[in-house]
Amino acid sequence: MRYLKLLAIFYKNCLLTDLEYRANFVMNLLTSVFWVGFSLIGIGVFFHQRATIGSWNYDKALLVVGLFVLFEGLIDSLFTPNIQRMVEEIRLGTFDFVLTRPVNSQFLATLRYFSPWKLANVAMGAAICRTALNRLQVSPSLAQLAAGSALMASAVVIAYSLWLLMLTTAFWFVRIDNITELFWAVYETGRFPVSVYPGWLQGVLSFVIPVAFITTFPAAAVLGKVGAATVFEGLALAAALFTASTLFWRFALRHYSSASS
Amino acid sequence: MIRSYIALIKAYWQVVLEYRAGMVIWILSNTLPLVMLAVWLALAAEGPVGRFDAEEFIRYYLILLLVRQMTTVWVVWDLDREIRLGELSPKLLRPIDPIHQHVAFNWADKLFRLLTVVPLIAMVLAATGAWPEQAGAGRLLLFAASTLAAWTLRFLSQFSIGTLSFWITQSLALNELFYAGLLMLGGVIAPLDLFPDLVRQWATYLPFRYMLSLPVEILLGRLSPSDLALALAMQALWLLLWFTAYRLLWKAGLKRYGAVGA
Repeated sequence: MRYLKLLAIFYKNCLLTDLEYRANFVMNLLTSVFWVGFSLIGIGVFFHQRATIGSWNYDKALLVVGLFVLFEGLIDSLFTPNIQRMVEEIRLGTFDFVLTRPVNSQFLATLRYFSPWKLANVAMGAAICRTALNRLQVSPSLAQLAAGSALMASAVVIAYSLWLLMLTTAFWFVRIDNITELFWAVYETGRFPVSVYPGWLQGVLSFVIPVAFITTFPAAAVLGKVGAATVFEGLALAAALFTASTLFWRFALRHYSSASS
Repeated sequence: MIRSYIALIKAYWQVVLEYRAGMVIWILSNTLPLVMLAVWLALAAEGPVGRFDAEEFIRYYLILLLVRQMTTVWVVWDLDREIRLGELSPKLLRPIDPIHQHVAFNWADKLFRLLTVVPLIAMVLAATGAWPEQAGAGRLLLFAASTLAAWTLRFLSQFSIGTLSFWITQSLALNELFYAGLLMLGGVIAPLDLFPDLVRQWATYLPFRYMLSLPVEILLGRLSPSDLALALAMQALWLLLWFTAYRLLWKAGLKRYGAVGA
């Protein structure tokens, strides 16, 4: 409960700070709209040439794009501000201030900062998903919605764990502020349904760097193409990755020789 | 001038070697052409798309990856930071124009890529039998010259956007819009030949094609002589335009920078 209250205070603080910079808001909104348009043109070009890719047609691929944009918005607003700050703080030695606070350091380091303007992407992503479902004239059943939600929740945890794993390496490779670029480069594959890629790549994208669980599988669940096995795989993967990343974080902290001590 | 460049490049080569982990990450993050290749290959599995069959797609995207690796520019971020935080001031005291430092850093990085990733891509091209046929010395030379021009165009345009930081705080956001244009009309999302005619006309007049797609088109050898002449002329024209923009913006910006009492 205490942590939830703290989270509320953090987010309110960030929102108030960002409201001071209104020009930023306009520019961010424009850029977001632009990139969403770009994603749509991207799949538009492909389906201009062919009616289907595998079993996915334009409207189904639209659902994947919607989820891609939605998650991009979530990650950019909840996690990314913290990554940049933390890498900088480790480099400057001010990370000690995070460690000396009477709260769990992982909680503080990964969730303190929040970028409200990126939530526009979440809204746009949700709108695209809505449009896609309408065009398909599909009303997901309760079970399908539950499966989709479970997979989306595990997707958030998976994305968080992957970020945390990458972020923890900053304790050793101090100048890795561009590690986020590597994540985004791999995340780009999530724009398209994973069945588009050759078999071996599908395996990699499902279990090694589970991008498929972030965009394709939630979309497939809502469309009723996914069985209970996949949902359990997603939840198990999320739990496993979260545990692994938390353990790695604790390991890193034990071996952290900070700037002063 | 040559001596100062050699000295600068030596210095930045040390920096590149020091941050080789970061450099490798930048190289590895350049995967979008490969992602697009995977998607287009899936489409081409049922038959050629336009005049592109599977082999042609592989050829196109591997060469595009090579050109992209050799034309990456990040100067807008450095400039934005230098202007905003006042780091530009010590650089202005030096006897050479600050732009040369940025050029030298970029060239040191390109040297790194020339030694690491370019041979790798060339080997993959040879191994998959995708090396463009009848690519004689003349075409290779033109390809190299066009790639150099593409780099210059990209550098000058990003530098000009960076100088806007003298006036506004959102130059990075503007650069993002420009970058999206490059992805679309520079041949990354799809080879420009696969776009409808109207889009291709736009692509001929905008600078994006000349920053990435043109060298690839040249090496693939599918441009008719008249198309080639027009394309090279447009590339030269855009080079002139961006160079002029850079000079004007830089001079005006420095005056403003001085006025704020840096």
